[in-house]
Amino acid sequence: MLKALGAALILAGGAALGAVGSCRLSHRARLLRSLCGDLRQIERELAFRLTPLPALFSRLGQARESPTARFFKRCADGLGNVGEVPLCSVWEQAVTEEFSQLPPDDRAILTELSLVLGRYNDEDQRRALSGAAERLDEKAREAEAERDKLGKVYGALGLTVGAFLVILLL
Amino acid sequence: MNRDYDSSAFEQVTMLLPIELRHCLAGLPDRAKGRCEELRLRMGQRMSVTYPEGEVAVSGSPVVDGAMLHGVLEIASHASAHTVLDQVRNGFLPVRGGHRIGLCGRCAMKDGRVVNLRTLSSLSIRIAREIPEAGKEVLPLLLDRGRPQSTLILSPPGGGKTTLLRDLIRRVSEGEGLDPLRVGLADERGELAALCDGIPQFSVGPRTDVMDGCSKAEGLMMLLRGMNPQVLAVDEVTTPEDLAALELAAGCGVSLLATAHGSGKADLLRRPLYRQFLRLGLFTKLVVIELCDGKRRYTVFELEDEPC
Repeated sequence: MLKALGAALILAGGAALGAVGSCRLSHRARLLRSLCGDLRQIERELAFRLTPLPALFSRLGQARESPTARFFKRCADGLGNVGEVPLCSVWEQAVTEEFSQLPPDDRAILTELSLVLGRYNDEDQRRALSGAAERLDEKAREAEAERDKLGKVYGALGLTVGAFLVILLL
Repeated sequence: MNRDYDSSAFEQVTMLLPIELRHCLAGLPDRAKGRCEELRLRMGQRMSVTYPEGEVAVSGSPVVDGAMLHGVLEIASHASAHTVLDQVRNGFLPVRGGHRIGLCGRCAMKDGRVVNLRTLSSLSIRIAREIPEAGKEVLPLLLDRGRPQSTLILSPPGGGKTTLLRDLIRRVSEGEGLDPLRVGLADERGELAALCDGIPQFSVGPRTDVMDGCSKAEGLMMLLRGMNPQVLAVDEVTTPEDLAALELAAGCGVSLLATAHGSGKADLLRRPLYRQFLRLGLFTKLVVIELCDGKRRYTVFELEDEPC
């Protein structure tokens, strides 16, 4: 009885590890896709209304379902102390801390925006946003392909490793 | 006139400064804060404060550098340069509370026009304050059968034109000493009403419609077309376009309240644009503001019979 319980636990542990790996892939794809949408949204707002960045960040930070809401809320809050910390530092810090799960390449695309956002005319900012959104879109497609290809593999692999351990231990 | 203002406007303005400069002003006595008219930041020098009697360097202030000057702009624009570029091109930046940042430096030119300031060399932060009694004695002298006559207010920069105009607008709109009237206010610099989220931060009266963020000429025309004003008010008429818009408004039976730079009546004849005021008969009253022993004195003249 105890053995069967142990075997079930090992099997479940392996399956959980596989699921975590698969989830991480899905999360990256979802995050990148959401960031693309957010950057496009900022681009449109700049083109149409020249909306100030605090208002934009605050609005994006209120989107409850969005996985990027916390990032934008943090940027909006950081702009309250803009006399103490410049926007570029607020943005860079938020990227580093809120998107620590993303690979450095993905984060670098966002970090580069700190050199342009809020510092130039709307056209230059829109150009930078559009370029970043395109690169993120490409990364999102890669991440989605990876998720489709490796997601199931991770799940099966976790289960297999669990089963293998059970056989070994028995 | 009472010069012992409260220091809240000063405190508001210090929030525009980077933290290292903000700290230096914390030690100023309240009376000094209340009397301060401007803060001046010049590259390579210590920050200074302007009082009615002159400019004084702030002791303990660090030497101002480029990062500090740009820091002020970042704070004032809420880290959104794209929202203020038009104003930067004009050399000033209106900020929340009706205060104004004057900008100086090396201009970036394109096709013969200023597109931006490449490097900043100095900033002047002008503190806006409300003085509710400013127009009390002046307004009765401008009335004709219960309506204000078209009036031009004249003084040198910093003489108190905007303060007087703001109080006249409030009195006309509230109906203090006359039947209340609808006032259309073209507030290009945002100094008169200091709109914030659509709400004036300064008291301009309940029947005042404010148009800001656009040129005076465009603002005047939009007010005239859309808001059916009985009085039109505008600060610092400086261009032929402003004059053309005022001319059109005057032809519609609207009373005008406007300000212009000048030290006296003679300046109206000296400058071509102001000579036009007289030639077209746009204004029937002239208010000249003079500063005597730290107090402002208002003198009202008739303009109807002026020679062209």
